Amino acid sequence: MEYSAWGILIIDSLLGLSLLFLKQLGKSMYPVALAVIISLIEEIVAHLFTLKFNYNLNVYFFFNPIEYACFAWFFYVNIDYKTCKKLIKASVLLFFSFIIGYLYYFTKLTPLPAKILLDYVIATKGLLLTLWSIAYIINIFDQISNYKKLSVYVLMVVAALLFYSCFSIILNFSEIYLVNYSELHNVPLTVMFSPLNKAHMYASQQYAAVKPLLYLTNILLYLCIFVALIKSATKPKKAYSI
Amino acid sequence: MSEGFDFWILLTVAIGILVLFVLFIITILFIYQRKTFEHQQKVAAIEQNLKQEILKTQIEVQDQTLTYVSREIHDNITQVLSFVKLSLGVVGKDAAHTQTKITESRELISQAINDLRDLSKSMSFDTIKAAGLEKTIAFELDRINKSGLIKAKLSVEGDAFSLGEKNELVLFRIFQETVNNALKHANAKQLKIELRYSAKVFNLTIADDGDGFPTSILDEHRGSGLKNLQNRANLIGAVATIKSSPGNGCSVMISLDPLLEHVYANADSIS
Repeated sequence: MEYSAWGILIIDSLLGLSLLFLKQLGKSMYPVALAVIISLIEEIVAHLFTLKFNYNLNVYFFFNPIEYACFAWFFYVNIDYKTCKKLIKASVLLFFSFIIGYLYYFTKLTPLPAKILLDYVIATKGLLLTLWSIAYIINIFDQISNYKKLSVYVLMVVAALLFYSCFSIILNFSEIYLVNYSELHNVPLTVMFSPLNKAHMYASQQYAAVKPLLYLTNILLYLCIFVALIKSATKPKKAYSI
Repeated sequence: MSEGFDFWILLTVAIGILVLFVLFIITILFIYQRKTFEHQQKVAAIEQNLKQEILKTQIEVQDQTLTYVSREIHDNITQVLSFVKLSLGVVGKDAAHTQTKITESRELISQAINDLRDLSKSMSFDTIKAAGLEKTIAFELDRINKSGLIKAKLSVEGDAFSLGEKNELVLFRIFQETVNNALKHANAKQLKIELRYSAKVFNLTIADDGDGFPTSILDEHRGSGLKNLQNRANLIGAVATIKSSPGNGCSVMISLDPLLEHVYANADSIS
């Protein structure tokens, strides 16, 4: 399954990159194309770090806010509410200031606290993206009275992002709980994440159940982005409507 | 065995997620379509209402014109012509004053012709269309001044431009209603009409020095005429501001954005 996610991510990134260079993309899809390219770079760099240093948490810590900024830009372009736009801008600034502030501190952390901190970053990202996705969905109903046409493909990407973010929040919070528990009670992580532990701990059950779902929703998100990129490239200047 | 079991569970979950995702999108699109349909129906109802109100306004303007014309014919022209008839009837009997009577009769007939000419220019939808709001109001005020019932003064600020036929008709009807109110109920001696044309806003202000009234009646049943006036203004996207207090006259100001092309009243104001 991981290979499928890798495969579709590479295809999306190449497609996004070529469409960006050819200037074939609709404005609302620019940030999504950038987000998939950054995701691919993030995965490649993380893989290289694992091979060389056997440690890649700092790569994810660094790239997650950039990825969030791209998706936040995507929502900024597609949501009309002024307050929401201001909040999106503020959230990006806060996210970056938080990362810059913690960057030095993060490199000094041992793997376990670093993992908790990273999980918090990813969970916060998921939480914010869920919020903006809901705001977008509410916004499309308000757009009816402003005679603004609905882009079904943008809606598809937002829905996929909403699904992915929801599972990401559950997975990361259950992981935070398990890692914290392991730290506090000196239980090895292998025990916490073992299939046997699933019978005892709700967080372990959640973690085990959500992990494959997260992969699936990740693949779904990349597939939706693929379709949306193709559609945006074939009709670059017009909004596609139902 | 275990791997095989995991695969089938995973496949079922994958299909489940996909179905859930598709259902989610379909539900949103379904709600979106329904809301779009509801919105279209609402707009159609508002447009229908607008048409009906415009028609009603046209009929009211015509009705007022006919009342005015019939009154003018009865009170003025018929009287003049009857007098001429009487004068000419005695011409043969009183040879000494024949020439004077004929001259008098000619003058009276001339006056009657002039009055008829004025009547032919009376307000109708076509007059407003052809002459525009400013000229139609000026003509109406001229007529009011001639009647001697009240002293009316018109001032125009900025270069006049067309506000659209329907908008001008509704504005004229509001003007007529307000003036009628001042004449019938306010015991006003003076009327001040102000037209202000600018790129951002058009203002029509009608102020009288009559008895005035507490604006609280707008919220009561008694102020239905004034409420109707506000609803009419809303109909063309304008705002009617009514200021008055007992003993201090009344001022009605209609503000309209001249750039407003598709104007729909909010549903509440016309329902």
